[in-house]
Amino acid sequence: MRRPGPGERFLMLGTSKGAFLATCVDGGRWEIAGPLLAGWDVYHVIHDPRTDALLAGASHPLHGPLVARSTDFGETWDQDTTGLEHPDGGAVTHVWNLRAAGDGEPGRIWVGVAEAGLFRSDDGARSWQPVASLRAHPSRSAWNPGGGGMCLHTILTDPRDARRMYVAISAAGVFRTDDSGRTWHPKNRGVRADFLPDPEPEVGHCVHKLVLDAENPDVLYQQNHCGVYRSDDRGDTWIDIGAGLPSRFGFPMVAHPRRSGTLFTVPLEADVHRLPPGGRFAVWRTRDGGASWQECRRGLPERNAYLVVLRHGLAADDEGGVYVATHTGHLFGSEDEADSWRLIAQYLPPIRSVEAGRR
Amino acid sequence: VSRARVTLPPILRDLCRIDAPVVVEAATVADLVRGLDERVPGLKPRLCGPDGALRPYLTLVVDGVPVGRRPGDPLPPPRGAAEIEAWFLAAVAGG
Repeated sequence: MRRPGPGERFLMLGTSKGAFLATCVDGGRWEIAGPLLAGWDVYHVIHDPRTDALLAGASHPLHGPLVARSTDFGETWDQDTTGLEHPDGGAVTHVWNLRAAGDGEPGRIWVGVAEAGLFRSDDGARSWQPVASLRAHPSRSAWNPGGGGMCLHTILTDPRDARRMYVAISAAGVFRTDDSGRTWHPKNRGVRADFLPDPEPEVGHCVHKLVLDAENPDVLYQQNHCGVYRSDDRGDTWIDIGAGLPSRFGFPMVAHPRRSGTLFTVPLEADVHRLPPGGRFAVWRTRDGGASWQECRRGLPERNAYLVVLRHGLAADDEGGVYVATHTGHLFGSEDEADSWRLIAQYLPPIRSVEAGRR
Repeated sequence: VSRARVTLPPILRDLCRIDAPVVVEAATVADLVRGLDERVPGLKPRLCGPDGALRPYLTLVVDGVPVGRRPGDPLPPPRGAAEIEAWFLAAVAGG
C-alpha cells in the first residue's frame, strides 16, 4: 500500500467506511491507499507536522468515538482516548474536527465533538481534558441539533495569539475566546437564522463551516445555512457576501492558504433537496473576499451531476491545489486554484472530509 | 476469581493489533474490562459506556452463555476447565 514519503504531497480522506490517503506521485498521478481504520466512520483526518503523525476522528455505532493516532502513516494506530467524556454526563457520539496547535504549544491538539463540546490534549492526543467553560455557557439551552446532530465541527486558532480561538457549533453559531478558553462569547451579529422566530438571535445559528483568511487573522468567513458571510473584526460583526452565488446555501468552504481574500465554496440549492443547482456541479471562487464570485467547473461533470459536498469536503494547499470530495465517493483536484479540474478517484465510500498535507 | 481467555470483536482486534485471545483474571464484568484495559490501554471505552455497563449491542458470552452487562455482574466459574472462554459478540447489523 503506497503511503506518502518525505516531501510528498498527499490528501487525507475521512469516509464512512474508513480513511484513505491519496499521494501525489510522478508529477501529478495520485495513488490511493486504504481503507485505513476499516469499518470506522471517519469524520476527519489531519497531519500534525510537528510530529509527522496522522490523527483521525472516528466513531463506530457499537464501539463509540475515538481519536486514533498513527506514527507510521496508517499502518498501525493507537487509540487511547482517556478523558473524551463530557463531565456533565452528555454523550460524546462523534469526533468532528481535529486541530493541531502551533509550534509554540507542543503536544496540544484540539478536538470538537458531538454532542457539542471541545476537548484539549497536551500529550499529542493520548489523553483529553474537556473545556467545560464552553458547555457551561449560559446560552447552551438555546443550542439545537442540526442535520448532523449537535456538533462542534470547526475549530480555528489565531496564528498571532494562541489565546484566541473560534469554534463553530451547529446549530448554535460561532463562539470566540480571547483567554485560552476560560470565557466564550457568541459572535453572530449580522448572521441570519431564517428558520427561527427571531431571525437574528445571539445564538441558534446553523453555521456550516468557518474559515480564517490566509493573511489577516482578523478576517473570517463562514458558509451558513442562511448565507455566506465575512467578518473583518474577529467575528464581532458579519456582512453578507452571498451576492453573485447561485444559492446562499452550502456546506463546505476553504480559504486559500496563502492568498488573502481567496476562498472556495460549493453552493447547493436549498432548502428542499440540497443539490447542485440544475445538476451542474461547480466550485465557486472569490478572489476579493466575497465581493465577486466565479463559477469554476471546467473539468467537473456538467450534467446530471447531483453531487453533495459535506462541510469538510473542500481542501486547498500552498501550491494552488484545490480538492473537492463528494458524498458519492468522487475526489476531484485542481492544480490551478480551481480554474480546471480532473478526477483523482471515484467509487470511494461517502467522503466526509478531505485535508491536504505535505510530509 | 476466574482465569478468563477473552476474544474481542474483529474490528477491535484489528484496531488494537491483537491476534490472540487476551488472558485476564476476573470475577465480574468490571474486573474483566479492567484487566483488558490494563493490557490494551484505551480499550475500556470501546466496550463500556460511561456508567461502566457494556455498550448497547455488545454481548459478553462466557462458555457459550450470555452473562450480565452491568459492571458488578459476576462471571461464572470454570466448568471443568482451568479457564473460562469469554467472547465479546457484536450485533451484526447495518450497511
